[in-house]
Amino acid sequence: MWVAAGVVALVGAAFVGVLVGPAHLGARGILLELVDRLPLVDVDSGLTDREATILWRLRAPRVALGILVGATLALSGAAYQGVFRNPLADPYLLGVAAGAGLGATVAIVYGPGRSGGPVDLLPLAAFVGALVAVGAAYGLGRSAGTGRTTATLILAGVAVASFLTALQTYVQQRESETLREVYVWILGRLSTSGWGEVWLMLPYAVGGGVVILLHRRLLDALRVGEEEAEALGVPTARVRLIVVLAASLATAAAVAVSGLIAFVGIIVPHGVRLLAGASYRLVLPLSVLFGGAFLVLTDVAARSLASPAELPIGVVTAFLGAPFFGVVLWTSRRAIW
Amino acid sequence: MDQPAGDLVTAAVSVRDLSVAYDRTDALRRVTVDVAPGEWLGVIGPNGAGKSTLLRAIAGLVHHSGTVLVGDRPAGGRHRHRRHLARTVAYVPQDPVMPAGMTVFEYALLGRTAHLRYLAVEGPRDVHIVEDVLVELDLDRLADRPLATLSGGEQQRTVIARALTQQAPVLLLDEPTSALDVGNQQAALELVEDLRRQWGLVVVSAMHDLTLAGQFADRLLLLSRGTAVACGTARTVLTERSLSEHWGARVRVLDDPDGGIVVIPVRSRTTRSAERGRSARSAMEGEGS
Repeated sequence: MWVAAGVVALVGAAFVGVLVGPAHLGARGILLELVDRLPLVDVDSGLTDREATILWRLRAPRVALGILVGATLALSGAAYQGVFRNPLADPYLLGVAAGAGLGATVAIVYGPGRSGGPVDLLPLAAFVGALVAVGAAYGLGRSAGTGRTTATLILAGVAVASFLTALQTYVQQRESETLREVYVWILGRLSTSGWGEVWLMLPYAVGGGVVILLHRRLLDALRVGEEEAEALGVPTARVRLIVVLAASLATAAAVAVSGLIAFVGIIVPHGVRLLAGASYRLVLPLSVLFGGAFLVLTDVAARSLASPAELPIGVVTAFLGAPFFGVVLWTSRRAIW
Repeated sequence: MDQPAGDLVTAAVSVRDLSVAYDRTDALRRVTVDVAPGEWLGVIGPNGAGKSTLLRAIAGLVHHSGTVLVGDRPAGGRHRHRRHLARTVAYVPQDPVMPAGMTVFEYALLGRTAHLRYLAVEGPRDVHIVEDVLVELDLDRLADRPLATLSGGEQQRTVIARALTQQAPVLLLDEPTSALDVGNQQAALELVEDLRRQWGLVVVSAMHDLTLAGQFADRLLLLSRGTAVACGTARTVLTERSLSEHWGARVRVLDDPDGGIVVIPVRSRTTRSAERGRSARSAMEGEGS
């Protein structure tokens, strides 16, 4: 039932996403144009060539990218929360996004150019950075954590994130030629030209996402803690390694195409838990659906609020997410999850 | 209800020269004990004696030297035998984690983990086994209740239900009654006893209450500072002398008309005059005989 609600939310958000914009296209025209794209169907949408181009070259890829990035960040957030058994774990707070940011910045500044080779280095560089960050945060949190408290891992993540952000800023400032490109990217954005970024990210997002979704039962088993899960027959170290790799890969791909978009990984999974309960069998797929819907709608807000200018979407999610983070902090005493 | 897997019904536990060290301090030193098929072994001893460590070692959860054989397999192999071991040994910790939002059914379903391949999900057979266990433990009408809403006795039964869905022939219980009132303590232990008889389970339980330990366990293993100091029937292990020596406790051990023994603490008087102590002791003896 919740899955159906999630599908409706996603489709609705996607429709709003293609509908809203400076050029008025009209709901009827868009619907007919979409139907026209179905195989074996041929209807006249009534859209002019220019309008059709706006729809297919500007808005549709942007919505698709929003769905992909939102779903990825929400799913990764839920996955990190599961393996670290920590309600505040999030790609951003663990330093994963900052690590991916550093990796991507290095690739932009020193790399052979965005479309130089057959393989784009950006997601790979971001992935390496993300893994370094999550490894450092987890190692630091573990060695410092006398009690396995929620706070230690997050504090370690914040420290790692600050350090990596400092490095990233240093690299970015040294090369004035690419400064603007890096800066625009770092604020978080979904503005695209065409489908390039969608295709770039798709394999990583789908691959990482599928791996995470396949671990839904094992993430549920981890909810009873590491030792009991071991006693039940769960190879906890292997589960943690695989899920962290998958979530970091997916996060890195999202960061590589859209920059740093904070808090989606906290807002969406926790919202889902409030609605549908804490079982990962529901939390994971619903995070995909509602995460996609959430980021598309946030992007609509980012485009419309300061129209005709555009707010960076990372600013909007942080504006919503920081207060929400406070609420999670406050309610996690009462352990909904 | 399915019996535990056929080839494992005869599984018993064999512990040889088991030593465990945490941070270079010895938690267990060269403990040797055998548990026969169908037997209930009670593990007793003062706080910090190593009772929980012994159970965790049998469950394969701590690094140890010496050998622990469960059935015919060693308990030590960290990952490769993890699932096999969990099909042989069900472990109930003293203070199990009970995620507040998880339902009784979801929690009991976790016991099926050992029978599922890495990425598999539970099938109808697993659901059926869980439903049977819940009926058996009178938990079926609570199946959809979140764990946080259960009473202490209901929570304990739910934890036992999870252990039973594992269908392991060896059941390890760490202080199964520590959080329960006296009625629920009896109910929980009687439940374990019924299940043991019904399915021929081997039970190894760490126990605090010595009278209950003597009533339910076939044999008692007394651990003190990491070593096994006595093993045998309650009557031979639980003597006033051993309780004074290992627990530093002043107790009376009395005969229960039903054939067991009863351990009764003796209150120390604020003034420790020998006169009063003696009179209290004789008064107790008068009541007991």
